[in-house]
Amino acid sequence: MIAALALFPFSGAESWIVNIGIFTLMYAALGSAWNLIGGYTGYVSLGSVAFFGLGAYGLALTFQHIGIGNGFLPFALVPIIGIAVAIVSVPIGWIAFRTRGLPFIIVTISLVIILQYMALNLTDITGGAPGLQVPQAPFPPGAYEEYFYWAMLGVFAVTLLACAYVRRSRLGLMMFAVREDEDKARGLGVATSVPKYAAFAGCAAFSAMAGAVWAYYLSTVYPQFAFDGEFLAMGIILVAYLGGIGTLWGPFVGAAILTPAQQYFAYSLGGSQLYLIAYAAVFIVVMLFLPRGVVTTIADRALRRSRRRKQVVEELATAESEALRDAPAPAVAR
Amino acid sequence: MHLFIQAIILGVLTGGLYALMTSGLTLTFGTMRIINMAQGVFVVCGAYIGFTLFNYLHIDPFLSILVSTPLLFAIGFTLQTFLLKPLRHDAHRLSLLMTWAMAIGLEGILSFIFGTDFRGILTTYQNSSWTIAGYEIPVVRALAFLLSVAILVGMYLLLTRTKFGRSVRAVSQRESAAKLLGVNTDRTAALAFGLGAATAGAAGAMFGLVSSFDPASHYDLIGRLLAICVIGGLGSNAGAIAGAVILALSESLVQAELSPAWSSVPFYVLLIIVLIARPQGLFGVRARGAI
Amino acid sequence: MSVDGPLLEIDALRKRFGGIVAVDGCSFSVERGSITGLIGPNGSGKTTVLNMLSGYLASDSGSIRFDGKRVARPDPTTMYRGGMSRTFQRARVLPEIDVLDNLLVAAPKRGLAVWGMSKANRATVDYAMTLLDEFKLTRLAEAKAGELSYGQQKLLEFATVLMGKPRLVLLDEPTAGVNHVMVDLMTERIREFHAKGLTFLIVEHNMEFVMSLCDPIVVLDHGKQLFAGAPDDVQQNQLVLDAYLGD
Repeated sequence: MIAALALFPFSGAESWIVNIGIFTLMYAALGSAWNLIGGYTGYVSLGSVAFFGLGAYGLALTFQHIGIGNGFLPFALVPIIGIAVAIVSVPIGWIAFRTRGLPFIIVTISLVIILQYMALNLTDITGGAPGLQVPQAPFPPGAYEEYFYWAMLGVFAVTLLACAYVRRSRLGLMMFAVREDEDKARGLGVATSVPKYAAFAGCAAFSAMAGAVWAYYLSTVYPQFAFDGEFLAMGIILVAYLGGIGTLWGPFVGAAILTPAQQYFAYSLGGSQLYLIAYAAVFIVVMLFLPRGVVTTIADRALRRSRRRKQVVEELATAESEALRDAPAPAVAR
Repeated sequence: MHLFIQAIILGVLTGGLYALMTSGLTLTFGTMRIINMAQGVFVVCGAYIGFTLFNYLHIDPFLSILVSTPLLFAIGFTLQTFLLKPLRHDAHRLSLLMTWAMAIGLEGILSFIFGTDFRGILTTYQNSSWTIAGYEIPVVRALAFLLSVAILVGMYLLLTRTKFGRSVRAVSQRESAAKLLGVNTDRTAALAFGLGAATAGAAGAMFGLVSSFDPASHYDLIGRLLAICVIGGLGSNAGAIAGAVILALSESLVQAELSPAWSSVPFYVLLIIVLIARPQGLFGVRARGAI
Repeated sequence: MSVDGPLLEIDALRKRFGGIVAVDGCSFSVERGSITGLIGPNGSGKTTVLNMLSGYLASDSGSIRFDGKRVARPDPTTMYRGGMSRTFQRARVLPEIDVLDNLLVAAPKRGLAVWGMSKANRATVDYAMTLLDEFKLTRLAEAKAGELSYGQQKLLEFATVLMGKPRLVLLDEPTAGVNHVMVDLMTERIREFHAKGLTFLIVEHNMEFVMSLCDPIVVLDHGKQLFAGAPDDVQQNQLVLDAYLGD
C-alpha cells in the first residue's frame, strides 16, 4: 500500500494533484498520530495541533539560527525535531494527565490557545503574527511537489508503523486497557502512566514531524495556521472519526475522503464562510450517521459474514443455556 | 494604588459578565455531562443580534436582551433536539465534537451574513462613566454587571425553586434514577441546553457593548470560558463565578499595570498552577472514577 | 518473609464520606490459607473496606499489614504486584478487547518487557489458556469480553486476577446476579485454588454460599467488626441475628 502510494507521483499526475496528495498524507499522518492517544488510549486530545505547530516553528527556528542550507538536509532534521518535541511533550503530559475525560480535553484545548498566544506575543523569537520565513527549497519546479510528497509519505509511513507496532504489542494492550477502564487496569498491575506517556509523546513526535515538513513545504510559519485550534484540530479528529478511531487504516481512509473534498470545497466555494459551513455540515453528517467510521463499519459487516465469527456468536448464544442443561438439579437461587 | 483599585473595579464588573456566560456551560455540563463548545459562538450570536437591532431599529442593546435571550433559547433547543439527542454511541465525546461543529458552522453563517469585519455596538453612553470617590465606573460595564448578577440570581431561583429546576437537579445527580422518578430526561436536557444558550444570548448583547467582535471571536471566548470552568471546577456554579472574576481581575490588573499584550498570561499561568495543585478545580469535588 | 502470623491484618481502619462514617475502626485479619468470609447488612462498610485494602480508596486512619509488612500507601498497581488482587461487585472486564487479551493484560510485566514486540511470551499465553480452560471460556477466547454473559464476565474477571499469581484474592460478591451453574463453577474454582494454597477474602450476601465455603466468617456492622468465628457460631450469634433482622 505504501509502495503504491510512493509510486503515485510517477503516474504523471499534475502538480496540483500531488499537492492534494501532500495534504492528504499530512492529515493521514496527523490522524494516525492522534489515534495513538485518542483512539488507542482513549484520551481525546485536541493537542495534536500544538505539537504540529511546535514542529513547524522548530524547523523555522533552526533555519533562523543555524545555517543548514535549504536542500535535502532539512528533511534529515525532521526526525530530530520529532524527538525534541516528544521530550517537550512529557512535562506537558504531566500536567494534562492530572485530569481525565472531559477536563483532559479542555486542558489540551488550553494548550493550543496558550501556544498560539505565545507565538503571537513572543515576537522576538517567533516573529509575531506574520510569523517566520523558511527558505524555499531549491527543487526544480516540475519536481518540487514530489519531494515533499515523499517526505510527507515518509512521516505517514513511520506513524503507521508505530501504530502497527502498538496494535500487536504489550504496550498497545496496555493502551487499550487504559481506554477500556483505567482504574481496573491499575488493579491488574498495569503501570498506566507508561502507555499514557508513550501515546502522548508518540502523538507529539509524529505530529511535529508532519508540522516540520509542512513548514518547509509552504516555506512559512505563522501562528494562525501553526496553532490552528479550530480548523486543523477539528480536521484531525474528523479524519480519525470518519475513517474509524482505533483502527489502523481509518485515519488514512478518512483523510483520503475528506482532504480532496476539502480542497474541492475551498476551490469551488472560495471564501472561508461557506467553506466553514460545509465543513461543519460534513462533520455533523459523520457524527450522526457514521459515528463509528468507515473502516469500523465495513469491518463489522465483514466480521458478521465470516464463518469464524459466526462460530463465536453461536458459542455465545449457547454457552449459558448449555451449561444450564448439563447442570444437576437446580440449587436454590439467592 | 489608585490604578490598582480602578483595575479591580473594572475586573469585578467584567467578571460578572463572564460568570453569566460560564453559568450556561455549567448548566449543560451538569445536566448532560457534555461540554458545550458552541457557548462562545452563542455569545457572539447574541452580540450580533444586539448589533443588528441597534443599527437598524435603534433599539437599546440592553433592551435587545429581551430578543436575543428567547431567540438563542430557541436555537439551543432546536440544535439539541436535532443534533445532540440522536447521538447514542459514545455520546459524551461525540457531543463535544458535535457542539464544536455547531460552533464552526454558526461562525460560517455569521461570517456569511455579517462579513468578517470587527463590529462594535456604539451607543451614546458608550464612554460615559460615573465617578465615585475618585474612581471611574463605566456606565456600560456597571449596567452589564448588575444585569448579569440579576440574571444569575434568576437562574439560581429557577433551579432551586421550580419543578424544572428539580428535574434538572435530578438529572444531574443520576440520570437513570431521574427517569424512574418520571422526569422526562430528554426534554429536560433540551430545555437545559436551550437555557444555557439563552444565558449566552443575554450575555452576548452586553458583550457587544463592552468589546468589539467578529465571527471568529467565539474561539477566543470559548477558550476563556473553558479555562474558567477548569479553574473553578467543572460543574460547580460557585467555581464558575470565582473563575470568571479571577480571569477578569487578572486581565484588568495586567492591562493596567503592565501591557495589554500580556493580559491573559497570569490567568493561564494560574490555570497551570491549579491543574498541578488541585486538578479538580478550586471548587470541584475530587471524582474517584474507581468505585 | 515471615511465615507466621496472618496474611492480612487490618487495624482500626476508618473512613468517612462527608458526615457519614462508613468504616469506623474496623479490625480483623485473614489467616494464611483460609477462605475468610466478610458479611454484614447493606451499608455495613464491606465494599469500602475492600476498596481501601485494594488501594482504590485512601483510608483516613488505621493500618493495613500484608504478609507481615505494613502497607503505607496502598495503590492498586503495587497491591496487585505484591500478591493481592481483587474483583468488583459488578464485574469489570475490558469490554472492547478479546477475552484472551483481558488475561494477558494482567500478566505481571514491567521494565523493558513492556516494550516487547508481542503481547506476551509463550508461557504467559499458555498459562492464560489453561485458566480459560478451567473456567470453561476457551471457546470464547476470541470473543470481545463485553459480549459475554454477565456470569461469564464474572468468571473471566476471576480468571483475570489469577494471572498475577496472587497469594490473596479479594472477591466482591462473586455470586451476585449469576445463575446457579456459574455459582457452582465459581465454588469449584475457589476450592481448587484454595487447595493449591491461595487465600481468599470473600464479601458475599448469598448466605448459603458463604456458610458452605467460608471459615472463618467476619461480620461487619456499622463499619466495624461485630463478630468473627466459624459458620455455626455466626449462625447462632444473637448479635449477628439482631444486626440482620434490625434491632
